[in-house]
Amino acid sequence: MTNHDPIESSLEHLKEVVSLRADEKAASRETLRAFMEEGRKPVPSPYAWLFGPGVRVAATLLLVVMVGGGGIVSAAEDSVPGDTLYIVKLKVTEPARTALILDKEKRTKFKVERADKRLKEFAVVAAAENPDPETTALIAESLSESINEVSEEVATLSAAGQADEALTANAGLQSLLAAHSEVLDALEEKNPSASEDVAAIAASVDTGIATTENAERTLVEALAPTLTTDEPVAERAVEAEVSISELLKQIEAESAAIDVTDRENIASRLSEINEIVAEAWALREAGDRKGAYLLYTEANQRLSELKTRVEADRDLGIGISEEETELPTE
Amino acid sequence: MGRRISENEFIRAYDELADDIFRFCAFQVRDRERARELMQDAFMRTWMYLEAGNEIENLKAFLYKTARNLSINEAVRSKARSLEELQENVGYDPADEESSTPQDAAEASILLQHLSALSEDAQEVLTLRYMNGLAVKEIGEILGAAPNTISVRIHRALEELRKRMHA
Repeated sequence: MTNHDPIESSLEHLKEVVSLRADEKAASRETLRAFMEEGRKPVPSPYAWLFGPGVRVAATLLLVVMVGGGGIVSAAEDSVPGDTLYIVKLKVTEPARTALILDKEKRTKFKVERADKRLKEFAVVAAAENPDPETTALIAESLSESINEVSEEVATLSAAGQADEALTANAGLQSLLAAHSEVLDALEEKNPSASEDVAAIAASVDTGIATTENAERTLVEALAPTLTTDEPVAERAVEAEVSISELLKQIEAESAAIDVTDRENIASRLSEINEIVAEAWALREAGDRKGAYLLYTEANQRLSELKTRVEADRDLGIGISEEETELPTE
Repeated sequence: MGRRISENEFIRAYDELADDIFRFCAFQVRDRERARELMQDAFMRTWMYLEAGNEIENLKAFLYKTARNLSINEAVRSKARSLEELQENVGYDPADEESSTPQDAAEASILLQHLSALSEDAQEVLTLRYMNGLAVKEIGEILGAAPNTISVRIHRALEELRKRMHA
């Protein structure tokens, strides 16, 4: 379309001004392709008897949505192990939601939360009964997927020169897995008959911890050149302060339900965390950004771990041990 | 009469229309990142619709309609944003356009500001007509209005823009 009217021509020119960059367009294209590809994968479905052989869960769900069953999506997202829609949540709704998150850091965070959700769902089942093998296999698969995907995102961030963001994401996953490793040990004691299932999930967790430890070593080496300003250190420091404050509020609100031994163990862990924060502050004051960053990261890891343990104690009644899983340090 | 659309056809449609749908969403929600997400969502939802066995007569119009529906709620939330934010949030990036001169960039910036001061309906028809190069009939199909009505809206929107530019 060619116009001689100056305003119309200028409006046409705006087309070039407001447009996607080539990398943005390519990234969205890849996401779309992956989404289309996902829809073709055959997924074993608990509804197979209902729709006949070869029917895909993804296509089934989409069909339901298109004819006005949007509530099914919501129901799937609220489903727990044992529900018929649980497999739909793991295989369709969560991957679709993940694919829609374009921001790398947000997407990585979502994937870490996904791993956390899986482990919490498993803990609830394993604390009360014996999970059926299919559910355990499904959870283990989803957990391993999330761990691998977070590791890939961490590697991408690191390759892009964002070692500090990569280290934070890696530390988030590591602390989560360490906390759940403790929870799994406690579950095994609480419900020995679920030990085989617990061992299957623990194997995925252990593999994940080993992966994050390996990644951490590389990331720590790459960290110093990226800390050209104090900003990343300040962010970690604020994060630690906020996490301590929130955790204290949470403990205060739930204090009636926490027994004396657990309270003492929490206090002991918090005291150690405070020492780490104090040391980090001293290093920051002395201009050692890398040292301060690593200590604040460790403090945040321990806080996240303690939070998970407090929640597990509240939800599952498995207590909080004095010792926590040893986190690797530089 | 609708027709089946293959994966390759759909990807070709993405290559051809992604920029236009993105631009359309960007003017609706005034946020570049969110516009990208909405554009992608529009393509995914349309693919889901096709995967469910449905047929689409006019893929281009269907994509625009889907993007428009998705943008409506976002647009309502974005209304509180100042008009000046449009340029910043939509993301005018001179680095994207190596051939543009500082004068071109300044003119585009001024035009964008005046455009963003128009009513949403006016911005919508001008975006579709001039930036995305759609025919009046196509715009009518997307917005659910007769071609004559669309022509009148475009004419009025242009007049309003001219007044603002020359004020």
